[in-house]
Order: sequence, then C-alpha cells, then structure tokens
Amino acid sequence: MWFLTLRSGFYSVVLHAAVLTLLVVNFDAPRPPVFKPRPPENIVEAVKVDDKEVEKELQRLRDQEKAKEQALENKLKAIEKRASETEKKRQAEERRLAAAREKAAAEKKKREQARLEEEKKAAAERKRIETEKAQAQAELKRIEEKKQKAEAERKRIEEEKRKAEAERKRLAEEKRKQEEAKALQQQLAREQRELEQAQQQQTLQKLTWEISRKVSGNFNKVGLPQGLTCKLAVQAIPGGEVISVTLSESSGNEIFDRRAITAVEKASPLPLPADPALFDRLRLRNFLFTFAPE
Amino acid sequence: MTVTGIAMGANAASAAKALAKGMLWLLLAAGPAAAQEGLEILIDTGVEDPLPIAVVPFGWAGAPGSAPLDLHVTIANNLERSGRFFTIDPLEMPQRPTDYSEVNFRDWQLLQMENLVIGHLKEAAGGGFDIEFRLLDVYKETQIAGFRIAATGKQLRRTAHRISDIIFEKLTGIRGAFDTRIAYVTVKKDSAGAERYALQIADADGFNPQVLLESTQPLLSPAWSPDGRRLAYVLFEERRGSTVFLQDVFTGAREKVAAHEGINSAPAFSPDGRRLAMTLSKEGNPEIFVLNLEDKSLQRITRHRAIDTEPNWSPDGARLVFTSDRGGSPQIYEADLRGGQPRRLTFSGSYSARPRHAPDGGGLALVYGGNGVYQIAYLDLQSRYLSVLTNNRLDESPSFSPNGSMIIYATKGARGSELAAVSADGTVHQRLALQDGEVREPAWGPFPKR
Repeated sequence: MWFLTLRSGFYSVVLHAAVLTLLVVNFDAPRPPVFKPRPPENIVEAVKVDDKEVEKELQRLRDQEKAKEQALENKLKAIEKRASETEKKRQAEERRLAAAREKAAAEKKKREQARLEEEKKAAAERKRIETEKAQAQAELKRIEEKKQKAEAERKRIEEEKRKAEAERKRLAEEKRKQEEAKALQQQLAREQRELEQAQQQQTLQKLTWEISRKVSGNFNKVGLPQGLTCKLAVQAIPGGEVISVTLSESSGNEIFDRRAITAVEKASPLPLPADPALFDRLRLRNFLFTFAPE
Repeated sequence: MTVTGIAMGANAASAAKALAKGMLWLLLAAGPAAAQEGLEILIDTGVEDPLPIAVVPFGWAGAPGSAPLDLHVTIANNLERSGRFFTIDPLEMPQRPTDYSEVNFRDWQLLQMENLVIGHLKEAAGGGFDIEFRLLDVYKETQIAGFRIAATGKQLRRTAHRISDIIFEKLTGIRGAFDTRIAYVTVKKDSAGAERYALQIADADGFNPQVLLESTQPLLSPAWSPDGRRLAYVLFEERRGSTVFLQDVFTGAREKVAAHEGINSAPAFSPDGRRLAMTLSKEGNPEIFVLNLEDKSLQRITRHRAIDTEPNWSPDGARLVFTSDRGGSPQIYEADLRGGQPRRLTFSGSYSARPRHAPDGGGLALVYGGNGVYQIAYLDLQSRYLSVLTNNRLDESPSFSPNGSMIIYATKGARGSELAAVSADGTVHQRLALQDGEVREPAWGPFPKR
C-alpha cells in the first residue's frame, strides 16, 4: 500500500515535471512532444549512482557471483524439488484426472440427466405451452364466443329494445288513438251537447220571439210618451197561461205600466210548451218582461 | 155639479180569482222554480190601436127609455171621436153590469175589452140627478176610477163630457177635451135668398148649439180668449167694412176694438189674454199688429209690401206665426215680437196658410195645397217635417183641441162647408154634421177651469 502511495506520489512529481517540460518545450520551439516513460526502478538506481560506489560495485559483483552460485544451487534444489513436485503433481494430476474423469462421467451423467431433465422439462414446457396455447386458443375461443354471445346479447337486447320501443310506440299510438277516439267521443258529446244547447237556445229564441211578438201585438202604446221603461215579473204554467203579473220596476207612468200589464194578460196564454218536463227544463215558469218601446 | 170619488167595493168573482191566484202563488213558491230566473224578454215595439173600451148602458131605475139622457151613448161617441178608443155596441156585450159586484171580468177578457165603464143614473131626492160611474181595468180586475156626480137635468150632457174627460185622462194620460166648446160661423139662406150669418157656440161634440150673434153681413174669424169668456170676431158693417169685435160669451156684451181704415181682420188672443194680434191695412198694406187690450196701444209687427195676415201666437207668447206672400206664394213665417226679420217656416208646396200652434208648441196646423186642392197639414217645428193629415179637396181653418189631440176644421162637403175633425196624428177622421147650412171657421175653445 505504501508503495502504491509512493508510486502515485512519484507519478505525480513526474507528471508535473513532464507537464512543466512540455510547457517549456512548447514555449521554446514547436517540436513534437517527446515523452519516454521509463520504469521507476531505473530512475531510482540511476539517481543513486556516484563515484565512490565502484568498490561497492565490485563487492556487489562478487556478491552477485556468490549469489549466482547460490542461486544455481538453489536452482538445482529447486529443480529437484520441482521434479518431485512434478511427480507429485503428475500423481496429483492423475488423481485429478481420474477424479476429473469421474467427475466428467458424473457430470456427463449429470448432464445427461440434466438433458433428460431438460428434455423432459422442454417436453413439459412444450406441453405446457401447447396447453397454454390450447388454453389460450380455448380462451380466445371462449372470448370469441363470449364476444359473440355478448354481440348476440347485445343484438338481443337491441332487438328487445327495438321491440320494446316498437311496443312503446305501438302502445303510444294505441293510447294516442284511444285518446283521439276519446277526444272525438268527447267532441261528439260536446257537439251533441252544444247542438242540444243550440237547439234549446233556438227553442228559447223562438219562444222568446213568439212571446215577444204576441205581447208586443197586445202592447198598445198609442199616445204614450216616449222613452219610458218598465219591468214585469211574470209567472206562467205549462201551456202558457199567465198566473201572475207583478210590476217589478215602474216606468213612473201609471198608464204605461198598466198598458204593459194588460199586454201580458191579453197575450195569455203565452205560446209556451204544454209538456211540464220540457217547460221546467227550459225554465219557463218565470219571465222578466222589459217594456221599452222605441 | 159636484163630483165625489167612490171606492172599489166588492166583486165576488174577482176576489175568488185573486184567492185562487194566491194559492197558486203559494204552491209555486214551494217549488224549485219559484226563484226569479228564466227568460228575459224585451218588448221594444207595440201597436198603436184605439183602446178597446166597453161603455155599458147606465142603470136607470125608471121606466125603460125614460132616462133623461143615454150617458153611455154620449160617452162612447166622445171616446170614439177622439180616435183613441173603440167601443162596442151594447148588443154585443156579454153582460150589462151596473155595479162592481156584478162584473164578470172573465167575460170581458174573452172579448179583449181592456176597460169597462159602468154606472147608474138616479133621480136625486132634492131634484136633479145622482150619477155614479166606475172605470174598470178588465185584466187587472180592478177599478181605475170611480166617481159620484150630482147634476141638474141641464148639466147631464156636460156631466157625460166630464166623465169622458176622466176616462180619457185616466187611460191616455192626456187631459180630455170633451167638456169644451167650439165657436163657428154658420151661413144660411133665408126665404128671400139672402145669406144670413150666425156666430155660434156648441159643445165639442156639436150638441147644444147657441147663437151668439146673427147678421146679414159676413161674419168671420171667431177667436177665443184664453179664459173662454170672450170671443173676438170680424163683422162687416155696412158702409164701413170689416170691424173687429170682442164679445162676452155669457153676457153678450160686445166691444169694437179695431175699426181702422181698410182691413181689420184675423184677430188672435195672446196666451195671457191681454193682447190681440190682428191684420190691419190702416197704413195701406195689410200688416200684422198687436193691440194692447188694456191701454189700446198698437204695435206694428210686420213691415212688408206683401200681404201679411192670419197671425197666431206661440204658446209662450213671444212669437207670432202668420201667412205672407212675400216670397211669391202664401207661406208661413214667424216673427219675434221683440223685432227682427220674420223667418220663413214652410218651403214645400205653393200654398201654406192659416197657421195654428199646437198647444204644446211643437208644431203648426195649417192649410196646405195648391192647384185647387187644399188640405190640413201638420208642420213639426223641430224636424220641419210637414205631414198632410186630411184627404179632402177643400179644407180650411184648422183649430187644435186644447189638449192637442184633435184638429177641427171646415171642409167642403155635399151640402157646402161643414165641420170635420181629424186626430192630431191623422189616423181618425170624422165629419160633424151639425145642422143645416154651411158651417165655417171653427175655433176650439180652451179647457174649462178645473
């Protein structure tokens, strides 16, 4: 760790120097940048070389020779060691191989088993898929059917609705017709009533006219002053006989009043129906005569 | 003559019927139809017919035919002559009741007689007569009027006229004018063939004529004073010409009021009786003058070179109508007594003359015509409508009855000039053949004092 830290610190120095150099070089002349990184060990050794160290070098070379011998010896020992190790290794290898074979066989078997398993699995999967597919199909079909059914239902409902509408319309029409018929009936009844009323009115008008004519024909206005009016309440019985004449509003002229009373009395029997029922229906018992000759 | 009102008295039949009616009333009142409802009928027209009335012969206790006067005949004739009534002959009557209790109204209703007159005549204990009469309403089955009158034999005819007046007024609302008199001039030829003139007064029905004055000289234009006491007339005096006189009807005393040079004619009393309008030609041309009878002063009314004559006073005394030919033919003009230009009133026809105001001032009776035909006409002063009332060839001298319902006039008949009457509406015409000879210039007198 410390090494890495040192190295990075070193790199940082170098990089700084390099960058500086680069900057200087760049300022000095437009040369292509040269950057030759060297391994850090050499730099360190180079830095540590000086004149007094030759001896040290020689020593170092002797040491080095000695180290080489040592190293050869070590090397032999190492080869030997390595050979035994290799044997050990071969044996180990063999064991390893056997184990491996075993392992491979087992693995093969396992693989086979797995394959079978796989196949079985695949078959199952296929089957599942197929089932699923079938299910999907079935579902689809079901959905389709449902859709159709829904459609049919919709149609049915539509139809029902249509029918209901038609029925409603029919009923409405029927009702309308009934109402029309009723209205017509009422109209007819009303017309009948009106006709009867009109007939009654006509009868009354005719009676009024006839009575008026008869009474007028007996109302002698000779020599009477003009502009006089009197009212008489008259009671009659079926057949027209006048049974009472009452002066209900005097003209203020005794003679005028008397002539009016005489006119009604002389006109008795008034032209009125003899049938008591008709007489009462037309309300003919009481009259009010207004004498106002022009 | 004394007149006393009498009460209705009892009538069994009518009471029974009233009772029956009352019972019906009660029955009806209990029914549902008793309420006042039902038809309302307007009678806006009527007829104008004479009123049917039966005047039943009055009861008389004496021998049949010995009654001093058939009152019912005088009354019925009066009523008929007025044009307002028609009567039936006693022979057509279903009964002849003289008392109220005897009347069977039903019988008279069947005959459609609206009114009934019954009564009786009795000799009074102290001389004279008692007359009782009732006017009955046949349909109401009740009495309209009832009176008891005491009269002398001489007053009987006048009593009949008074009864007629009462009936007339009760049934028409107009005062009767039967108890009035007319003045007129008669012309007869004597055995020598000379004309003899007489001024006479008679009852309005022509009875009881009295001669006021006889003359061989023409007598003209009698005119009544408003109080009926005096007559003004024109008499031709020998060598003098026409003179206007006033004569007291009762005493015969007479007075000459206009004897000027020339014409003195057509006198007419003012409504207050104090002035006399006349035609005088004393200034050369006939003009209308008014003579103040109190101070004898004369006021000249017209001033025209044409003939202005026949003045007649308006009822208010403020104006005079007269005949003038200032427009080329005789026409009626009106002059205001306060002055101003007379205005012309008649425009149709070639002849309108002798105007006489109706008592109500609403119109004039006049002689209208031309080409030899002269008839009595009525000019309505408001509408200016002129209606011809008669259908004769030569009518003259119209004069209104004081109630305005009739006009008496003279007309040329088979025997010369005679009196005729027409109802003011022109519907009833009759001749009053009074006596021999010609009758001219009738003047209807005023109402007697009530």
